[in-house]
Amino acid sequence: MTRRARTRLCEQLTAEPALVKEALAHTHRQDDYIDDRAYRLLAAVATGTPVAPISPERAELFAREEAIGRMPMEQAFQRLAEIEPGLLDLQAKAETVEQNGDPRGCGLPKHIKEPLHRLIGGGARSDDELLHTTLATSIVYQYLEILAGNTRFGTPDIAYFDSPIKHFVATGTLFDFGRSIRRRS
Amino acid sequence: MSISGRLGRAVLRRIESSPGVQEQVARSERTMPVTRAAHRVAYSALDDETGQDEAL
Repeated sequence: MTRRARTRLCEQLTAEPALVKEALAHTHRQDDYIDDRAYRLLAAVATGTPVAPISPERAELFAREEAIGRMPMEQAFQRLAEIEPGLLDLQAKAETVEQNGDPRGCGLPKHIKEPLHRLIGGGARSDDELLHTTLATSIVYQYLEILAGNTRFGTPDIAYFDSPIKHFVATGTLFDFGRSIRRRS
Repeated sequence: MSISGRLGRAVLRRIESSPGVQEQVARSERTMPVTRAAHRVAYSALDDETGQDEAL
């Protein structure tokens, strides 16, 4: 029998219904796939209703986010590099960091981090919204960290969504019906 | 510590001590397990049970 997300959340929530409702009251629908899904699931559990579908305005972007989140990080990175080929150069640089035996366990070195801001996240030069999302940014950072020898973040053959430790990089990007507004980089 | 550093810390302390902020922090701590559980499930590949799926 296939277990469903809403049922799983019900099982995991040991809190009083009032607390679940309070959490929902102070959460709102978000502009990225994971936050939006978490909100929709929580709303369904709190109100005893079916899970609301993704809004049509965000469906395409969220489908692309989900796809890169569920595929191995190395594959997700390649997909993002098809949109922004500049990422491949930084991939090569990150691999060199590992070869030099300089794991930099506390973050990517400056010569990778600085150009990265222009390729992914709120400051990305591309108009493709996927590159501006928190998820794509987090995947790229985590993948490059792994290549640079930071084993804390797992291996590149696992999906970001399945990774026990997730590198989270908030981009602060707002999406307004398909149009992105860059709040900060 | 520089004057600007001390000023910054004083402003931060003032903000943190305001009843509104304290209430927000307390609420966030209360509801954190709930929102964390929702996010954990959101990362899963389980389907959403939208529309016609059975009610709990």
